[in-house]
Amino acid sequence: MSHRHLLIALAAAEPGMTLSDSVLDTKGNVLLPTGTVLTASLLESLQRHQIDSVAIAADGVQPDDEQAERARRMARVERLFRPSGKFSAQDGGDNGAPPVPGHDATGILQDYMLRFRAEGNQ
Amino acid sequence: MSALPPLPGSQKIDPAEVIRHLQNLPTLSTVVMDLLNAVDDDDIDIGTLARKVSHDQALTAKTLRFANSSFFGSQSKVTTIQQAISLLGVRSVRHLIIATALAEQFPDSACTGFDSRAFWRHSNATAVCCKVLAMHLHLNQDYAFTAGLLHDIGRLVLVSRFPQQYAAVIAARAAADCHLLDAERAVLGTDHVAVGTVLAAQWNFSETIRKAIAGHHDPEAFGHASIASVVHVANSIVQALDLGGLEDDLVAPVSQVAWDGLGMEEHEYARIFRETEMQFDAVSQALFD
Repeated sequence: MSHRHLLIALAAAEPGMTLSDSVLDTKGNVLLPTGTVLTASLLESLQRHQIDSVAIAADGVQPDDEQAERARRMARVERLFRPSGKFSAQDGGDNGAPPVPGHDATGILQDYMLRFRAEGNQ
Repeated sequence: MSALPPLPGSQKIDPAEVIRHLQNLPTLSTVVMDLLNAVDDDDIDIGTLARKVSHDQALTAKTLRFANSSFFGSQSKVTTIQQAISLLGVRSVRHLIIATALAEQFPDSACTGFDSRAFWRHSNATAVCCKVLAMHLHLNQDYAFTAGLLHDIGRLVLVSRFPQQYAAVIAARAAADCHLLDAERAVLGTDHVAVGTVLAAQWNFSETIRKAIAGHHDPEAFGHASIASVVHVANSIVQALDLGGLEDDLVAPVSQVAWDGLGMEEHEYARIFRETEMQFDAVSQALFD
């Protein structure tokens, strides 16, 4: 992979740009991994961590690819939350909450996760 | 699916047999027991811990590799255990020792369909998510991490001591596309929660960790905002984040009582999702590369 990348000031970074290198804090902890698509809230968080510059992919992900990737991740959330199959055997234990999509805690978690992915969190 | 579910009743495990198997398990080394049961004890000094770790070759190698990984971004190469513990912190080394000891205790078994890499990814991700949740809830992060790491330990016992029966569980789960817990109950007549609870008693795990193991699918019984609730919610979050990497994973239902007990808002969860992903990436790079 020979992505060209640019080191730019954090103030110049915009939502939608893709990181071409991971961002580390002063202790060397990874704050954001390579390939992260920046969002407004991520930029804010970098500011809080006093990061002053980031490496951006110059020929990074095309907007279309990005959208397709986002759609793929959202479809994956739907699949992971699919209704469980029923067990025909006599004592299949019941596993807690009744399935009321969108209203019970499981449905709320699913909504949160879908919106999280929709915001472009990889 | 190619595998047919087994005939009901054919793979049932006698609870007495589980207990017999558990009694035959080797006891954990004193180093590991000390570390498991002294989560509150921040006073274990570096010298003592370094001496204990250095008695174990595999553990020494792993600790040094962890310290030299990109996660910690150290400029110079770490060559001694003393240096490694100073860099990683006593807590991280403690967790590393616990995970290593358990992996040694339950080597990869001949259980068809069991993905041990996915198991450990899920356990580590749950540990990380529990720690992040605990931070937001102002609970003890160390307890939370350890509880998350150990919550499915009963599954490891079943897989390593009853590989054929557990292979039938996995096949039955795939055929019905149901929750693994339900398949365990239907096929074995017991589940990883019950087995984990017995193991936790056998190994004298602390009260908090025992409750977390016993209550991670049924946290209502263990009080509001308890460690059991934290592990319960973290377990479903890491499944929803797809961190275990199992193609057919199915998010476990979230207890309304546990969810309400944590009482967090959507924007807090968004931060928790992000922090869990970021920290898990860093930890798994260090542990699995």
